[in-house]
Amino acid sequence: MSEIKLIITGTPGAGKTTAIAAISETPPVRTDTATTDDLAEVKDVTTVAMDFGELTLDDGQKVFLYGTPGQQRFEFMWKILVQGGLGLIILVDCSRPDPLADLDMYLENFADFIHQTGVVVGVTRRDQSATPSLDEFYERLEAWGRVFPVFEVDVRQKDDVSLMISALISTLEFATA
Amino acid sequence: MRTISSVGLSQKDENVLKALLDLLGARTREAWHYAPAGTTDAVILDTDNRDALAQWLAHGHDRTLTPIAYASAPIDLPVEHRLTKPFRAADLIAVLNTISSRDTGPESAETAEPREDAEADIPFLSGAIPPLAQQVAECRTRYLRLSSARQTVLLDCANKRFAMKHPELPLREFLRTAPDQLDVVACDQPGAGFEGIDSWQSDTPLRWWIGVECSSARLLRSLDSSSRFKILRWPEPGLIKHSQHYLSLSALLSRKSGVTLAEIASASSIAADVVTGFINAASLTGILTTRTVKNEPGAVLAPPAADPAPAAPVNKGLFARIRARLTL
Amino acid sequence: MSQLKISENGERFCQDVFDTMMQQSDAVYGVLISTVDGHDVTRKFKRDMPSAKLAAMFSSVLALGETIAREADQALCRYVIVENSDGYILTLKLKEKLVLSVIATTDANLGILHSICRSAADKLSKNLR
Repeated sequence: MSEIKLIITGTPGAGKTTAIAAISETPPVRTDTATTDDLAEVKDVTTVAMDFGELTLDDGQKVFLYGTPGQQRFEFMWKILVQGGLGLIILVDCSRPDPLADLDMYLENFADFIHQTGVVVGVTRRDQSATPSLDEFYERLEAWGRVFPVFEVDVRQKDDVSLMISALISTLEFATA
Repeated sequence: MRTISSVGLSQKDENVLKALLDLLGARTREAWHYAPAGTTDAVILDTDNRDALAQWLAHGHDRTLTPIAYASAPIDLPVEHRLTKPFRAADLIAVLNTISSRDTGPESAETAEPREDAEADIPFLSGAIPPLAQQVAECRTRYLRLSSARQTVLLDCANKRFAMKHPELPLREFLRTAPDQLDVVACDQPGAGFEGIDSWQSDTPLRWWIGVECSSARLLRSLDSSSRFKILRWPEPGLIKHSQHYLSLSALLSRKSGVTLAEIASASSIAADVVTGFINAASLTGILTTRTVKNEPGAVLAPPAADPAPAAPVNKGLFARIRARLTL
Repeated sequence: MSQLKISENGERFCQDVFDTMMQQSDAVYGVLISTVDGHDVTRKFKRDMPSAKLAAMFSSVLALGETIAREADQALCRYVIVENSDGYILTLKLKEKLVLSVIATTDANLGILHSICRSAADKLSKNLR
């Protein structure tokens, strides 16, 4: 059986590790280390290589969930992790100063992968900021032609993570161009 | 009402045929519905399917059935009615109207071609009560008051909001109330019980579920069934997450160039009335755009070159298994 | 930007330690101290190398080493060694939040390289706060 990989990326603190923990059948494998920069004001640890979780399908096949580091200096890991991936979820933290610029950065860096597959955008920490509106996120995606899903999510909730993966699967099945 | 069955059609062609019959019915002289083989007025025979054809010829088919040969090339068969592959809405309508004309006499023969005024045949346009979705689509400035025996919902069309009185059932369940038990009144004022109400909510979920549940399997009058349909954004998660069909339809309508009804039928096995309800719901909530392709050759049934090939079967199976694992 | 700043004295001390390492073995042509979350802190390179990128990569590789050890039910990852056709790279944790990495040619003996690294790490750990 070939390896089935889904990739979750997004801003530091957006909840990539939490999302994987919410849905993985096994305790997620983490590569957290102490934060030594401004991010320390928000969180004590950050992912520097990858997070890893898994789901088992009814025929025994595994679906692997990989979380990337969020910071752009770990771009080399992004390129490694998307190899052979089925699709991408981008989590954007609305409590950060410019969530739309954050989204643009990930869209640009994962452009080739998104062209080949598909993407779902999960907007997180809505309780801390009601802006930007979902319409503004959709405007940023307009240039792609395809209408990718943008959902407000609470990644601590398994159902929300399931919804993002389901929407991604539907996008891959029915709207891959 | 007339019925039609098929023999030897591929699953894809059968789905396309069913979708066309459901969605283009108002453009034929009589209402045609798909039914299992055996008791129908007409049968579409895929003459490229030699096994099915031989079996049909050998088993002394019912002579009262009107056969329609459906083939990719001319075939030597004593059949009066013929369709060339792939299905085209206009051709199908023409053949069905010809059959109707022959059965009902020459004075109707002039209607054999699709009629521009076909909407006049739709009951709700000729005096009967239109489906609630249509009433909402046409309500711009007034209030619509929807009442069942124990619950009332007031839609403020101008301000895109709604309020509920005595809510017992969730919106969707309420809208499943049988049409004859749901009183719909258009009014200029909110009316009794709603004066000074401050519990207004965004009307998006109400409009969505009205589209989904109260469309009577008919596209809104403002929508052309031969258009390419595309959504501007995905519906809110709460409106689609409990149905895989809605996720699939959202994805189909997300394609760069949108999608036709026939392409939906070809790519999925979603029932035509579910498709209609979804498209109406998208229209009522303002997230639908359409592009008319009537005059593009083969546009109704042939996907544009830029659109994706359907996912490979191996992936289809994989996607289904992942969905099953994620059941929401 | 890293909040970990090294003082002028600290910087001089580090450079002295890096010089000593390179004197102990001609094969050593790069030494880098970075943070565990991938920021470049100080370095001495004899060749042109992308220090910011390497700092992030050393952070990833060390974290992976530690995670692999944990998953394999082994304790405390001491070094990550990348052995290549034309050189070695050794990476090890330095105190709580720092990483020391040494880059050398194949002229180095891996055992000696270990020893040089360990000795440097001890000195640095004692003197860096």
